[in-house]
Amino acid sequence: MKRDDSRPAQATQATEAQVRDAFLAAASTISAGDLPPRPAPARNSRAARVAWSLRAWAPRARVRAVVPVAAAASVTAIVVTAAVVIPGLLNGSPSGALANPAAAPRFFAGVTVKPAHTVPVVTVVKIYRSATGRPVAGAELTVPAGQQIQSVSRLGNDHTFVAASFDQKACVTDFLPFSVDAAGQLHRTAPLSVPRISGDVEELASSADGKVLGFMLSPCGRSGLQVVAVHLTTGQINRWHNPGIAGSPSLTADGSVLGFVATPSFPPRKYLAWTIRTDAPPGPLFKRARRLLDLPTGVDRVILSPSGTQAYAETQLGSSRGPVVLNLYRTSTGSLIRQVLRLGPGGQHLAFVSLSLDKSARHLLVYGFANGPVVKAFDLRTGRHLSLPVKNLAIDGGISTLAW
Amino acid sequence: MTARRISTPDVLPDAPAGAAVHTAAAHRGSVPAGQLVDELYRGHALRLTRMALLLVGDRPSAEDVVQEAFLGLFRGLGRLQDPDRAVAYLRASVLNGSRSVLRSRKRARLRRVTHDPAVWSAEAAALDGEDRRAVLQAVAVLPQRQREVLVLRYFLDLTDNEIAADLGVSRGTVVSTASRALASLAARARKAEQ
Repeated sequence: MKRDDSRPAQATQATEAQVRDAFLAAASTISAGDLPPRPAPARNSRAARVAWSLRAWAPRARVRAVVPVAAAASVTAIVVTAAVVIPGLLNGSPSGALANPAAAPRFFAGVTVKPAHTVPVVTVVKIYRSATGRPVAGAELTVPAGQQIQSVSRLGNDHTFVAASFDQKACVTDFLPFSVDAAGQLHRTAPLSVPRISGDVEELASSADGKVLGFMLSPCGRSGLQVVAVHLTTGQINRWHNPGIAGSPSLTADGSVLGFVATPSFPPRKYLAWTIRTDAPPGPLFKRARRLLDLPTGVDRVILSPSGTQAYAETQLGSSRGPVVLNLYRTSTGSLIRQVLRLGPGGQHLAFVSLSLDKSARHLLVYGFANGPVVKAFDLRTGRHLSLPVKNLAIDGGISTLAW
Repeated sequence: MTARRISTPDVLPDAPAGAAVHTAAAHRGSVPAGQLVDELYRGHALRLTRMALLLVGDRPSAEDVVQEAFLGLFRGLGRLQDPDRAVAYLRASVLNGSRSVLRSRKRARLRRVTHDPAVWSAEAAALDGEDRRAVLQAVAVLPQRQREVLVLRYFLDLTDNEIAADLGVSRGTVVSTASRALASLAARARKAEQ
């Protein structure tokens, strides 16, 4: 697995240096002497405000016939064009093959961006080999034009998964179950008892018994976010409303408890880890949820163990510039059991990763960004890890796009 | 996690200590609001105007955005829940104002209304170096969120946590957005070299 991994990091640093230099040069075209005097409150009349807003439309003193490229239309897109593995990002563990790769799931599912497309973004689910990170030829889940697969989760066991595909025009999300055979080939399976839901499913989790889905839902045309649990055997859907931001859902093996991170305030201050019983009555989220972890630097991601007695949490040591670490906590007391991984040295620019635990809770997929996309598979008992050169993953902070 | 438009940016970090003392004093009524805003303007207007320039492209628009931000500070000073956050309030106002300018330009283009050229355009002739212009032009066509993250990261030197608070998104979104932006710039540069 030895490769020259320093080049992508160097390229990123070079781009950063170019951006800094260009920003500084552009900024230097304005000096303190150029500034107008500070505005007086007298300008704060309705007429003045109208006049200002008109100026935003119309040219000021110097009319030109050119529209700057800065005015180009904004598009939001999940586009990852490079696959980079950075050794040393996840410090503290020896790298190399997993100690017992046979015990790890042989395949994992990942939401992948079609390289040929940029806008609109086209995503598919591909099946990857855990040992190499290479995709299985022909194993691909596609959706019709206009839909976008946003997240994927293991459903039930190591061989069944469910993907969430969002149709922006209709503002509905379809749940697409599929299985993976021994050769890694993907097969669609019978629709779930709840095949679709109104709104945008942003992150998806499912229970190891295959009976419960848990996710964050952005409703159509309404503000706020919902944390949702779907009981597939009964069709029961429980929703809890949150005015702020929430993410990182995970379920216990029996689907009885949903873990997540959330902040009740907006703009967000600090993310805390919470749990909620999936049979709790609908209503305001923080009236039903139990605070799981309140760490000084907040909790960026959390994932419950199958039994729910432990939780892996991504946080920082010491301060908001401290190293990013993955710690294991006891859920009954919130006490720290041990530090599992160190995810980078900290500083101004920080690593951020998402997590996917396998059914046995022994293996962990860690994926995210730190000077580029990163995918690593960990054996939690031995600490050994494997870098996986997965290409074109739609790995985005806060979105569950890999599952094993 | 979702991203939202910044609403009342009264809880954001990064207000310098000096400004914090004065804003707190003004809140208690011991320093006139005019004097306070004067001090903030002297201390921060240039940096904020430069930040706005990198977002909107031309100086007149950038100056307007910052002037409006300071007017907003006048209006909202008494309502700031945490008056120590005046600089963060201004920064968030500049972000919102810059977005408004860019939105207005989209409409203006339909009406064939024009405005000053971007500082990085050849027409403006304000910048030395073709490479710098190319970088800034590439930044300018990035999605809005990516531009904002790059400006907050590499011009204002904010930490990822501070950027997350300013933009109302998770830290992961900041990291991934910056990473995608840098990857896009690098890919564009490679293409230009070929």
